[in-house]
Amino acid sequence: MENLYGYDELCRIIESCVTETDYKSISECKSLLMVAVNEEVRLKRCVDSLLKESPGMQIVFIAQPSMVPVLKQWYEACPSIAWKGKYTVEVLKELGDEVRLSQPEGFFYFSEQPVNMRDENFMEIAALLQQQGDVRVFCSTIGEDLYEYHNIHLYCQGIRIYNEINKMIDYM
Amino acid sequence: MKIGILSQNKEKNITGINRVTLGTLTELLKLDQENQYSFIGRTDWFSLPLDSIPFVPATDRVLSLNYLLKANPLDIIHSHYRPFHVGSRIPCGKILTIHDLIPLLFPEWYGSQYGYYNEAIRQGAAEADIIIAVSEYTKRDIVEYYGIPEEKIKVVYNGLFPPKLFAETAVGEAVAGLEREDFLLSVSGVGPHKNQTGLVEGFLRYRQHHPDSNLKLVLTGPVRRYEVIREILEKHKDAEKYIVFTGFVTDAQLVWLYRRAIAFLYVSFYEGFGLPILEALSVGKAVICSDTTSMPEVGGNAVEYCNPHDADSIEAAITHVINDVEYRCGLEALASKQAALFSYERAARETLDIYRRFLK
Repeated sequence: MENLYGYDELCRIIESCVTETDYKSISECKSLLMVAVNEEVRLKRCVDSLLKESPGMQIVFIAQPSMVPVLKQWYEACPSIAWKGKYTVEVLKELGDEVRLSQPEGFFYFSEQPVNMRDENFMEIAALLQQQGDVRVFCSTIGEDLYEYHNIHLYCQGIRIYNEINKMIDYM
Repeated sequence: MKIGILSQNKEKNITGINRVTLGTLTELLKLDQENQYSFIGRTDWFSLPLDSIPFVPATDRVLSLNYLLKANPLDIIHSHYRPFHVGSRIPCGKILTIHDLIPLLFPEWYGSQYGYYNEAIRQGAAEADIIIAVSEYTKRDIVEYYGIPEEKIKVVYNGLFPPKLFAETAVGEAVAGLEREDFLLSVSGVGPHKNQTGLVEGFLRYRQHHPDSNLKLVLTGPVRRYEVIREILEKHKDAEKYIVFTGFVTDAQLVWLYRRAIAFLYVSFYEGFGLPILEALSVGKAVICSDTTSMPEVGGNAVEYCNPHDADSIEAAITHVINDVEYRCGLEALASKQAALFSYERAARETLDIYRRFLK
């Protein structure tokens, strides 16, 4: 009998939770919460592309303190929140205190590091936002590859199973 | 034999480690008809004829490949700078390429990455059967800082990829506003170890001592560089007239800048290899670079060296190369010969030799 639930199938389920997207699709969100992990020209290109598609888009940035003045200079109308260290779910509390933002329609995690696409902190922030409301989740690696996560819950479950099997094999 | 290649994630615009991976792999596939190669992860972002093994790069910093190898047995896994773990009962050779240990050596600058290098890469290096270092200098660092026995580490130098980008016939695409300028070029990534401060200080001293010169300094790369040298620019009010920031440029523009520049300047404190030096040499350009770490391995006797910790030394090197036209032409004549010592064809031959010896 064909094994439908082996390695390839688990990979397929996990991958199906993430699809490539484009600026046009992201710009359907009227308000976006954006974690800017890296302070690069690529970030500017990415934000400019979003604003070109949707000039009225409301973006709130969360970035390292050194980047905040630069973002304020670039995007005067968009609030920027300084956050030192790792981006954990704590950023949402800070955001609530400092900026009046109605429930964002989208959450965008911008990172130059491809490995961060599966960053646990990112996943936790995304899951919490989705619990609170209908938030679309996006991620970018180096600003050129754009992804949308369709089912963070299933995605996290799949990865957990994948990791557990890997650990089990160590003890087999 | 089955060999699995692991690199960074899919990229539309292929950079850094992925360029090294694809450069080596392109030549390996030409050279080796005997072994069967697979790529771990998606292959839809490059055009090599390789089988793809599905892969979930989960959140662990050291990637566990146990489940993958149970489903897809391989004889060797060669990972480009991604630390991985394979259970001791799974028969598979483990090769890890390491480019540099910069965050481990400069935690004051790269605190956020220190843990990754001190734990994940250290663990990956300890578990690997063979480590490939991209220079003798990186090899020495791996021995010293990870305590890995020297005999476990082989040196395979980088090359240029894609080669046609740096071919003699490539002319590139002009960067607006620079068509009529005389300039020194510096191409650099981000990070304090790149010594942007020394670069600008050295150049401004040259300008100060040569007030009639039209020479400019063109800097490519991320805006963060500007933040780093903002203080210097504020001190030297005229500096912005002489220093041009291009931001990121396309490959075609990069080639044009290399060709159009009078000379290339690279005064990094530390490199694992120093690819921009090789790129500049390959287009026959006179190069001024640091006399530290791996850079003399790449530059050989075809470049002008300086001490990156001393702005006077940087200025002296600029003065020598710019003012002494005969000397500069001499460096240009040596440049391509030096560059020819490095290629992915050579890297592939040496890598294949490592695979074969291991499989024996």
